[in-house]
Amino acid sequence: MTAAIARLRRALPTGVLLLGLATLVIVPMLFILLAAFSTEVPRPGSIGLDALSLENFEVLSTSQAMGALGNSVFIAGAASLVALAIGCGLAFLAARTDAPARRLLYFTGIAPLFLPSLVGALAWSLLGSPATGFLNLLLHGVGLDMTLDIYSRPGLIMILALYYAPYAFLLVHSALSLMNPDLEEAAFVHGGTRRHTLRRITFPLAMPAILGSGILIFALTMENFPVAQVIGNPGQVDTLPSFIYRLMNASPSRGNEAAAVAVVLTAVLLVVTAIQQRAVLRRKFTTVTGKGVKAKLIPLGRWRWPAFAAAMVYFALAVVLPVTALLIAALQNSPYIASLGQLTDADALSFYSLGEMLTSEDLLQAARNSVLTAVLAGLIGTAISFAISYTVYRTNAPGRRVLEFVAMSPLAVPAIVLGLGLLWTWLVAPIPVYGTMAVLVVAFLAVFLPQGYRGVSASILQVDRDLEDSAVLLGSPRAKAVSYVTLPLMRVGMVSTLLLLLMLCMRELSAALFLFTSDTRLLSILIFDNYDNGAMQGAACVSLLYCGVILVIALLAKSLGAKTVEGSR
Amino acid sequence: MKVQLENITLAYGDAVAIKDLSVDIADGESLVLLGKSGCGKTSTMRCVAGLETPLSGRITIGDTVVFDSERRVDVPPNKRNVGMVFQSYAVWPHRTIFHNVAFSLRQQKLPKAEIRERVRDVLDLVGLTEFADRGASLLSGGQMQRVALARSLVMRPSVLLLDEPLSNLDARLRDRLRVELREIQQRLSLTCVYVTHDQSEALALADRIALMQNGRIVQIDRPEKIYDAPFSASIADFLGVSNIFPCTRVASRENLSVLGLTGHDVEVLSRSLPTGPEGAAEGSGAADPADPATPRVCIRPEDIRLLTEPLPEGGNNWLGKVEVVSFQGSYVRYRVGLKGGPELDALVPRHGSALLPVGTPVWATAEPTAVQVLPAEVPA
Amino acid sequence: MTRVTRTGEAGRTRRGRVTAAALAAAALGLAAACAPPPSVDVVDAEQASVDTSDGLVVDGERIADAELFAAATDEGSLSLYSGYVENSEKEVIKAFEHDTGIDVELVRLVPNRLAERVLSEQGAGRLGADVVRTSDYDIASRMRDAGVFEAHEVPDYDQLDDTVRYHGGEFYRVFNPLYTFAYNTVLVDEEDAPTSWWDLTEAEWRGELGITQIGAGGSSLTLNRFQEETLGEDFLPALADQEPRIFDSSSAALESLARGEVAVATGVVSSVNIAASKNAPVNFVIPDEGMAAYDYFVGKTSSARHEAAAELFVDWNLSRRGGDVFRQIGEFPARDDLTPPEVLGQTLPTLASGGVVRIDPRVLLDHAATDQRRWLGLFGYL
Repeated sequence: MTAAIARLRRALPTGVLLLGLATLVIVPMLFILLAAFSTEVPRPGSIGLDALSLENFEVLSTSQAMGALGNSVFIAGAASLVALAIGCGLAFLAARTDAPARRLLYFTGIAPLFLPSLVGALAWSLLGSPATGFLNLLLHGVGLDMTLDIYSRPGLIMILALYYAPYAFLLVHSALSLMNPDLEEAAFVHGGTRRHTLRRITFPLAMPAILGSGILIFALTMENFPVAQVIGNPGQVDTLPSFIYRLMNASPSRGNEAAAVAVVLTAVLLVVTAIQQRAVLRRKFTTVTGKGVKAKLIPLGRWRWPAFAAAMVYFALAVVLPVTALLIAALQNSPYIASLGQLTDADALSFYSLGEMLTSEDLLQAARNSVLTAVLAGLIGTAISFAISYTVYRTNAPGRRVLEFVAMSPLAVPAIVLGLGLLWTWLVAPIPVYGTMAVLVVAFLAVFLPQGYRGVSASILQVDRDLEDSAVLLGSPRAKAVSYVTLPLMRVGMVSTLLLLLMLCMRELSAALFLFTSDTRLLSILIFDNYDNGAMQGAACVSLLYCGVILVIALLAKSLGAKTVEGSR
Repeated sequence: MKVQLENITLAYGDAVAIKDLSVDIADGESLVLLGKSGCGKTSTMRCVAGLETPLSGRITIGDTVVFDSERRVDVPPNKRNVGMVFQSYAVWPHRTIFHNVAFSLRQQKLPKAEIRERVRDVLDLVGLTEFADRGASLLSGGQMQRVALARSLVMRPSVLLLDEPLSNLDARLRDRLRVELREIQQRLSLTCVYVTHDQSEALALADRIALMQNGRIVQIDRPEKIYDAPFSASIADFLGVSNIFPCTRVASRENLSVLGLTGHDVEVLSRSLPTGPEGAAEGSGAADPADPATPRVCIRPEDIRLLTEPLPEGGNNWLGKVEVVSFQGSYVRYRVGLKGGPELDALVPRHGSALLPVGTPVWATAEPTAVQVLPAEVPA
Repeated sequence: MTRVTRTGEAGRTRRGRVTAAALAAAALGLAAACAPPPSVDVVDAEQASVDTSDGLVVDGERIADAELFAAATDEGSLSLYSGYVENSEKEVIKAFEHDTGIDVELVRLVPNRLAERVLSEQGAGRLGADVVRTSDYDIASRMRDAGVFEAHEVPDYDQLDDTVRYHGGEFYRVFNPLYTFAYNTVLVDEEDAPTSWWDLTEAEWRGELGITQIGAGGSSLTLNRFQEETLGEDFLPALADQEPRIFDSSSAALESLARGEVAVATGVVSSVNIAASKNAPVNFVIPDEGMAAYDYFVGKTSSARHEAAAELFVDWNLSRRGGDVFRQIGEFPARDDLTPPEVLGQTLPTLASGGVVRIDPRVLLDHAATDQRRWLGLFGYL
């Protein structure tokens, strides 16, 4: 009896955590499954298993659904290849060559992260729309008879590649710069040529990072909604996420079929994530930790400047041109221009609209909401992550492996799908959360749980368990030992995680897509809403501010020495 | 205070770390748990500290039962008054030395003046008086080790546990601290449990050594007793006996045993009798060397002498050739390939003589009393 | 991107950077002139004369008696869940707040998301709305079936016909947006603009057209039914042959029209009106064959916590004053005693003239599934 109670007490914290995580992550997925196999969308009073059916999956047999699936896979595949090429190339230039201005190259590698893909897509639709895109106006202005159409598969691939290349850059850059130079020198000493060493030693060693980031990018681009919607939709290129969105927004709403598509998308992502996690695990064996010794730089010779120029082209495509386009759109007095020359007309541009927008109640409210949800989700997320990490790594509570698995599981669930599941969960839940900011916080907690957990657990692993145990042996209760020893030593890790979560929450659109209402709009939602309502200028104005906020958080993070972007999936 | 462990069993999942282990440690005694990594010595210590919860058994410190699986007693670590010096020292890098050391006293809410005094005293004892206000992250390994020790001593623990406290230090510092540790332990007449895998450390610090293998104590005795009479070849191996060969008993001559080395054409005379399983050593010449029941001949390298002539009076006389010479200062270590026999390790005092060059034919010899015949393992 | 070679891309980028940088600089310099762009207020709320000495009287029309108005003023605010276009709803609220001094808290979602939310909140017994406004008879009926609405008779109840009041006043049709097509005034001269729906099927508009997908809402379904009924069943296939660009929502279509992505697009008169007021070069056409009118409904909820304010809001919506506000926005008021609006200098036809065709909601409902299937098939869309 007492044994049972003791066991119960030991299992209690894990149980509570598991229960919390299950509500956060598992229940929404169950609702998706239920909706997918039912003819009724979950709703208070109409939830049950009596309307089971397989007919929702008929939507999958339509040519549109198959097309969307094909597009998703093809576009994600192509975009990851291009992103890998860009990211690895830049990482190699910045980490291992004598290319000029390598710090600038590093910045180039990560700068696009400050433009969420939604903003990038909006900007590129301004730049590359076939009739009046700024770039097309420019082409026609200089007398070239060609038109680029961003609303196409290649356009989608290019934009996704531009904005996901930084993930490859970060992972490969750290692999290349942490590589133990002894390994390469050993090859030189044993008669390897530079080219040979690169091919036989350096790249194989960086391979896990390259593969891992490639698969990561595949998963991310596969579930990307904003680019698919903004760029794909006008060109009638459907992907699974935009397909789900359209089904949900159809009139009448086709939630059950959306759930069926969501199940398929999740299944694909599950496989991809499983592969990625294995690649990440393998990486652990091969990540060669350096002793802080800088590896030898590889002279590029006459390729120095061309390589630099190529990097700058990327910078222009991913950052300079989009920001310029947004700025022009924000300042335009009329949405229509026939040629770029018109912009120099006296009345063409004005800060009026930008100023109006920046001081409008809508924007201020969205900014407040964004900051509030991000901060709350960041704080609570970090706290939960700590609780999970502590249970997994510092206790031998039963079920802690399950806990870890559940914490990592949102990786395999597309944000848009999780958002859908959360919508139904909190519509049905007896707590009045739907339609409030709380549901957004809950959504962000769920979506970014893996990032938070990974950040905190990496940090807890760096703090020797003995440090805490010794405080306990010296007479301190466990909780006090944690607060006196463990937490202070994890400060940097915890703050980094907090900032990472903050940043991710600020950037997120898809998870909040079905959960916001007009009074709980976030900046990202406001941009999307403006776009959706045809207010491109408003969208451009908010986008500019939005990028500014994200940049500020990133700088804050950097000044605190946090590896903010690295944990992003 | 005395510490009593009775029938302790500990498992991590399916892996049993400690099997039914019992040991009594007397008040003021220094017990060294010696064994290879993974033998359960650290786990045993952590059970005493309360950092691991055994499946069954009872632990008593002084007169207090701190753990009893049957009566469901499990005093949490912070109530056991056990001091522990971790292998990693676990000195908190974000606090000053004073704060590190004063921690337990503050925990007891002692008056400030008393805390200051006791911290100063203990820092005096470990020789860190002037470092009190220094941040702990700036210390060297040896200093950290002293802080860890001081931090535990200041709480006047019922028992002090030391988990390989010297293993992260360089050899010379290790030698010095070993003596200091022993001195402090004896001066304060502290009950100590000391975990190490280093036999010389164990010999130097222990009142008694408990040799552990596979979660069991296989031999427990005073250091010199264990050194002289290990229970098994594997214990002997652990204590630095490098010449260990499987053997079969061929005959008795006077009161000496004549042993044949398995697979070799060499005879060894021994005064000791095989202590292995009954009659095992009496078996035929076909004994399997991999069979743990096969007895082993064990000769310490320092008990082997190398001569240019065979001993006239008979005894162990093996002809061989020097194969490797390794100069070690006051000693020279030779490897000698015996004719028709195995290679033999010999540690020879130098006494100013010239080294024997490789290829020199030599006669190796050992007193029959220095040749022990032991079972491979202590039977379970 | 399809027609761009790799060298072309690199060249474009470098030139693009230079020009873009120059443009940015020019922009910053020029924009020192922070003058507001030429734009006009769509609704001039201030124009109305309000007298609250005895109830609510606006421009001589008595909208509420003293008792109701006092009770509503006491409540001070109301919560409106609306599926109406956000900017337009805000204009309405501005006028209402001006007239009554009662705050309106708006929750705005596209109609089917709104339905989702209202039905869920209703199901859970905690509907937060005092008043709900939505398009689509189907949605309003579903809400009614769920018990969302509570009957309330507006002052002119008896003068309203059955296409305006429903179920004894549970909800009312307040106004109809008019669905037609519009053109970009810079790309297309007024005299060259198409004047009839069939003009859109002329070869010159091939590839220049934008339309909105049928799943976008009741508006699309209504336009579709209008096209099938009034223009004949050959029209949609002919339109599909023009390979129009298909937009997810009519607002996205209008935005592209304003930017000149397409020259002509189907669009709603009020939206065109608001866009034009913000300096977008767009104007709408009153086609020879007429245009489609779809319904917007408003009703007081059964769980209204600000009952008086909710009633006042519904009354105000159905008053001549309310109708006038909707006219100014560019909507067609449901009350038949108001003249059709004049928008962007064009006077809209009356219902009687046949220039505005309202589809009966039951007809719409009956055809919804088949219409949708036919449309999707014709345009190769989901």
